Amino acid sequence: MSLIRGRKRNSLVIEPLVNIEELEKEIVLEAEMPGLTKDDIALELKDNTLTIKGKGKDAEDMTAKGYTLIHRERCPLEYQRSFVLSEDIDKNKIYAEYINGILKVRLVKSEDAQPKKIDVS
Amino acid sequence: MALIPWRPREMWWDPFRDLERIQNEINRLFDASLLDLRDRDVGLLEGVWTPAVDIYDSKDNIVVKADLPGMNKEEIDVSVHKNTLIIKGEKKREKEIKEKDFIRTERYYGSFNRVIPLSSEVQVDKVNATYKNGVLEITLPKKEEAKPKQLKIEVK
Repeated sequence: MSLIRGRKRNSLVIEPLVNIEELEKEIVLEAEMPGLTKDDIALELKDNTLTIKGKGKDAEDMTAKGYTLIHRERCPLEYQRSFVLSEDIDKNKIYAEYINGILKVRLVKSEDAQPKKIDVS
Repeated sequence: MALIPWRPREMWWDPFRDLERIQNEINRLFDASLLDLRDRDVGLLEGVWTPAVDIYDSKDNIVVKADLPGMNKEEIDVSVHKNTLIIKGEKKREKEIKEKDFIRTERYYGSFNRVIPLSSEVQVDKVNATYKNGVLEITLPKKEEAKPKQLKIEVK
């Protein structure tokens, strides 16, 4: 698994920080994307590239309630990052969940790539 | 009390970043007066992380939102002291880490501390904090006397 590099300078889109862990049967990717709801997140798989995207609407909601943003470090909540998946990931077995601002993506390795135990007869 | 400078987060580890940070700190040392230094609670070489915050203001309330992904609400400590809001806590790893399994670790762990001066006095007993979707939202109602007043003056 490799990452598409390049930080978007002068852009307000945040590349979320990730932890990637390789387990025996799967690769687990955890991305920090606080302030969204499940529906704000989209995962796209094109060829071998997995893109995670999310866009929140904190500022709009608050402005509607009569608030003015006086100090800004996190808005607009827009996240995007892409990853190139290695061949041994089963494209049909990608699972994602969003808990406490963390998007957790489980990428299951294909049967061939998983270690096999061979019994000695 | 001073606002801890917020640093935009770095995506890729860069050895020059630390050098640059030391240089910045030294520059700050010369720029700052001794009074400012007394209030500093960040060490020169300490790699602390500070959550990014947004501050909203309205007629009645001040709302502070802080990005604290992947925490438990028990790990977050919010306090108000006069005109200052203090958010601190410690982000712990969910499980024991086995270094060999990790391909990348970019997320920050450890303790954090953020001191935010408030523009007006607030009703300390009515401050409300919630933690949802990795965001800590603190609503601070302003004191009656701090609210902007509209005085109607009769024209004679």
